[in-house]
Amino acid sequence: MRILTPFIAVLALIAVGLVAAQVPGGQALIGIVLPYLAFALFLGGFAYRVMQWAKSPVPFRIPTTCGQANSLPWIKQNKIDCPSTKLGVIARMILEVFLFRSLFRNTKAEVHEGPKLVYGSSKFLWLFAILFHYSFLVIVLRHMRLFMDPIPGFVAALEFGDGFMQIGAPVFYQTNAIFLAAIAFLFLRRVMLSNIRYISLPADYFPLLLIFGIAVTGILMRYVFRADVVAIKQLTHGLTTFAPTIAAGQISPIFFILQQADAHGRCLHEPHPEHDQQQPDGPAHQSVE
Amino acid sequence: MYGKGRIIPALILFLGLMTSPIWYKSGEASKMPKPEKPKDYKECVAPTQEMRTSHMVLLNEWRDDILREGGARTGKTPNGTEYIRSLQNGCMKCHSDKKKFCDACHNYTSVKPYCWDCHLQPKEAM
Amino acid sequence: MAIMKADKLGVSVAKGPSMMTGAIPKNDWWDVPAEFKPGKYCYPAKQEIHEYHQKSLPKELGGQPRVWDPESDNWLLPEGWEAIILNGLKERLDKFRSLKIFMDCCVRCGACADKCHFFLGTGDPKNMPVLRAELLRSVYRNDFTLAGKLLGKMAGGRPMTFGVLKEWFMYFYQCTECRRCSVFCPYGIDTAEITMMGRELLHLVGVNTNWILEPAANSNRTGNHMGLQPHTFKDNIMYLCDDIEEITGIRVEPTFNRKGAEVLFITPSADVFAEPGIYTAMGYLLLFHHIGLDYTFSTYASEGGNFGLFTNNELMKKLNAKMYAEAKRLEVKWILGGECGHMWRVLHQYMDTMNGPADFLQVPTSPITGTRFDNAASTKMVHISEFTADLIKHGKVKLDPKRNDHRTVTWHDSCNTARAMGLLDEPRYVMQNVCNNFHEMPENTIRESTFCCGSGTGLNTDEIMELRMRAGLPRANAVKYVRDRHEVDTLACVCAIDGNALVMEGEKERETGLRFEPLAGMEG
Ligand code: SF4
Ligand code: SF4
Repeated sequence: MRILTPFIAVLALIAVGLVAAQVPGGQALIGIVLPYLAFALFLGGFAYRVMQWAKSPVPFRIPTTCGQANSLPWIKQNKIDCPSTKLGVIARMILEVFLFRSLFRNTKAEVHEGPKLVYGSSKFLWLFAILFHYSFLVIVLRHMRLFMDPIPGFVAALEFGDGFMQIGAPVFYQTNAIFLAAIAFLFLRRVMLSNIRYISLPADYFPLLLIFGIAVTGILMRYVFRADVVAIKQLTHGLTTFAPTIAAGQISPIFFILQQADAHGRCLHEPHPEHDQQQPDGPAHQSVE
Repeated sequence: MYGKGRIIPALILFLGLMTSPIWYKSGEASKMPKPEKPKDYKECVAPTQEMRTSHMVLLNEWRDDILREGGARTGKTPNGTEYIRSLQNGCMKCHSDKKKFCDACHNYTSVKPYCWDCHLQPKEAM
Repeated sequence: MAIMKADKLGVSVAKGPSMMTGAIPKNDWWDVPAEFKPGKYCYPAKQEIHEYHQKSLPKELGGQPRVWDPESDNWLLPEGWEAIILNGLKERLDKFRSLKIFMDCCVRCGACADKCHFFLGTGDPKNMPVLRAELLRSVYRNDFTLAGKLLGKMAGGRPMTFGVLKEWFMYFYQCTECRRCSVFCPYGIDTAEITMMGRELLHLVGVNTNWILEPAANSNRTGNHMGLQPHTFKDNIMYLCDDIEEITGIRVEPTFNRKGAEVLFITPSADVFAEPGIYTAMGYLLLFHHIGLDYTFSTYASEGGNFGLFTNNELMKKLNAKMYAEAKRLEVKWILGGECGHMWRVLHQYMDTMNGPADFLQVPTSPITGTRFDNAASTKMVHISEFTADLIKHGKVKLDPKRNDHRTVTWHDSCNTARAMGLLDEPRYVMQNVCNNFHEMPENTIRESTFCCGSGTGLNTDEIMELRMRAGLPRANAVKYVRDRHEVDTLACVCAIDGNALVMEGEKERETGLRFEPLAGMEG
C-alpha cells in the first residue's frame, strides 16, 4: 500500500500529461501555466517554510558535540566537530551540507549469538546519497542551457565534462546513468531492508518514484522519442523571459509528460533535503557559536 | 521572527539564485536561431521535423553503416532524388555554410558535435 | 535465578523474533498497540509526590494528581486531554525552533535506526529513533501541516488518540535521551529533544513516573534527590571522612555552607549516599585536602543532578537555579562540579541561556595552578576532570600508577559529557596518569559514539530491570570485548548512576570493580 499509492499517483500524473498534451489548450496548460504555478509554489513554499521556522526562537544551544571540546590549552580541540568559533561552525555546516558528513559515519549493527553485537562500516547510503544529489545538481545545471541565452560558460563546460566519453549521438551523459543507478539504489534500499521499509511512508516513495519518472522520460525524450531541442528552448527560455511560445507540432507529447511530472514534482517534493540544506542554520548546528 | 539578520539575506540570496535565469541578460528577448537554408534545393533526405530532431542519429547511422558494414554510399529521398550519404560531400553540399547553418542551432542549445574533430571543417569556418 | 534470567535474556536478544534478528512485523507500526505489562513501564508518580509538585509549579504543567494504573484502559485523564496535548504541542513548536525543524525534516533514511541501544537490545521497531520520533511527528503532521490536514493518513498523519498516548508513554520512557542517534542523522535530528518534548506533553495530562518526580520533589525540597536534610547530608560526608581516616590515616575536614570560600563544590547526591558513588566522593575529599583547595559544600545545593530535565523546562530551570543561588549566597568565586552526566548537559546546553550568564561569579581560575578556564567563562562552572587533568599536567599531585597495576582499565564516556559537552580527552589524560594498563573499547562504542549505560533519564528504576539490561547490552558488550581481548577488569566512568547500571549489567558476566579510579588511586 505504502508503495502502491505513490506509484499509482506517479502513473496518474504521467497519464494526465499524455492526455492533456492532446487536447486543445492542454499544451499551454502544461507547458506554460503549470510550470509558472509550480515554480511560484516552490519558491513561495520554500520561503514560507523558512520563515515559519524562523518564527520560533532558539532558546538553547543544543548541538550534539561530536569531538573534543575547547578546554585546556594543551588538549587538542576538535575544532570542527565541537566548534567554539564561528569559523568552526561554518566549517562544520559546510562539511555537513556538501559532504553529508554525519551519513559518512554510518555503521550497521548486527546481533549474534552470545548475545554479541558487531558494527560494520556501512557507507553505501552515504555514497549513493552523494551520487544522487550531485548528479541531480549537475543535471539541473546542465538544463540551464535551455533557460539561459547566451549559455554561460560553466554550463557548457559541465556538459562537455559530463559527455566526455563521446558515446553515441546525442552524446551520452554519465550523470544520467549515475543518477538512475542512485535512485534505484535508494528505492531498492527502502524496499528491501525490512526496517527501512517499515519506517517508510508514501511520502518517502513518492518523490523517489517521481524523480525516477522524470529521469526516465527525460532520457526517453533525448534518445528515443527525440524532442526538438530548439523548439523546447524556445518555450523554456520563453518562460524565463515571460514570453513563452509553443511552436505548434514541434514538441512531442513526451515533453509534456515530463513537464507535467516535473511541475508537480517541484512543488510537492518540497520537504526534500536539498531545500532544507539551504536553510541558513541547519538543525544540527543551531547557533553553535 | 528570530535571527532575521542572517536568515533574510540568505533567503534572498537563495531566491535570487533560483530565479537567476530570469535576471540573466533579461533585457534581450530570446533570439531564435534562423539556420540558413540552401536556396537551390527544396528537399532534404528526410522530412524537416525529423531532420531537426534526429539528424545526429542519421549521421551516426551512415558512419556505422558505411565504414563498418560496407554499406552503400548513396541513398534516395522519398521523392527519388539520389544523394550521397556523407557529411562533407552530402550534407555540406547543400548546407554549405557551417556557421550559418549548423552553428546557428548548435550554439543556441549548446550542442558541441564532434564531427569536426575528424572531418575537415568547411573553409568558411577556418 | 538471576543468572538463569540473564542467560535466557541473552538468547532472546540474539534469537528471539525481533527486528534486530530479521523478523518482519506483520502489521504497520501504527497498527501495533502499546501493551502495558509488568516490567514494561515505570510506575506512575505517587499522588502525594505529584501534589507536592503542583504546589510549586504552574498547575497546568503537571496535570491532575490521581492514582492511576498504566495497565488499565482508563488512565483517568482530564476532560479534553487531546486538546491539552495539541495546545501544548503548539506552544512548544512556537517556543523551540529545534522542535519545529525536527518535526519537519526527517526523510526516514534510517541512518539512526540501529544506533539506539534500546533498539539493539529489544529489537522493537518503535525503539528505532526514527519511529520514536514518528510517534510524535505523526500527530504533528495531522494537525499542524497542510499535507496532513488534506491527506491525513496518506501523508503519515494520525489523530491524537488514547492509543497514541499509550505509545508515547511507553516509548518516550524507553529512550535515555543519550543522543547517540543524532550523531548519525544527516539532519542532526536529536531524538533526545523529541523525547523531552514528548515527556513534557505527557506531564501536561498527568502521565508521569515516580522515579523521576520523586527525586525531583526531593531536590526541590531538600536540595538533593535522596531527600537528605542538611544535617544528614553533612553527617554522610563526615562518615566518609572517618572511613578515609581509617584507611589512610589522613583526616580531611570539609566545610559546609561556608561563606567566602573560593569554590563551591557540587556533586550528585548519590556520591555521598550510596556505593559506588561514595568512592568517588572519597576521592574528591582526598584530592581537595591534598591540594589544599579552599572550597565548601552547600547543604542546599547538594545535588548536581537535575531531574527537571526529564520532566519539563520549568522544573529544570528551577532546580538549576538553586546552584547559582547558593553560589551567590556563599559569595564564592566559581563552582566546581563533580561527576554527573545530565547535570553537565543542563549546564553546558541550557544553563547559559536559562539562568545565566552567571555574571556575579568570576571566570574560574585554578588556585593551585593558576590556569584560567576560559571555556567556562560564561557558566563559571568547571568539571572535576578538567580540573584534575590540569593539576596533573602541572605536577601538583603525586601519582603512583603502579598502585593500579593490578587493574586493567577501560573508560566509559558518559553520553552527556561526551555528546553535550565534548569532554573526552581530559578523563583519558587522567586515566593515563593513574594506571598503566589502559585499553579503549572498540571505536564505534566510545567518544562521540559512546553507548548509553541504559539507565539514564530517570529510567534507572528496578521495575523495568529487563529493559534496562537489554538497553545496557551494547555497552556491556563492548566492555566484554575489551575484557576478553585485554583482560580489562575495571570500568571507569563519570557517573555513579551509569556505574550502578553497569555493575548490574556486568554481573552476569563478571564482577566489575567500580570506583572512580583516577582519584581512588591517588593518596597524599
Ligand atoms: S537519521 Fe535522521 S533523517 Fe534519517 S531517519 Fe533518522 S531522524 Fe530521520
Ligand atoms: S537519544 Fe539515545 S535512547 Fe533516545 S532514541 Fe536516540 S539513541 Fe535511542
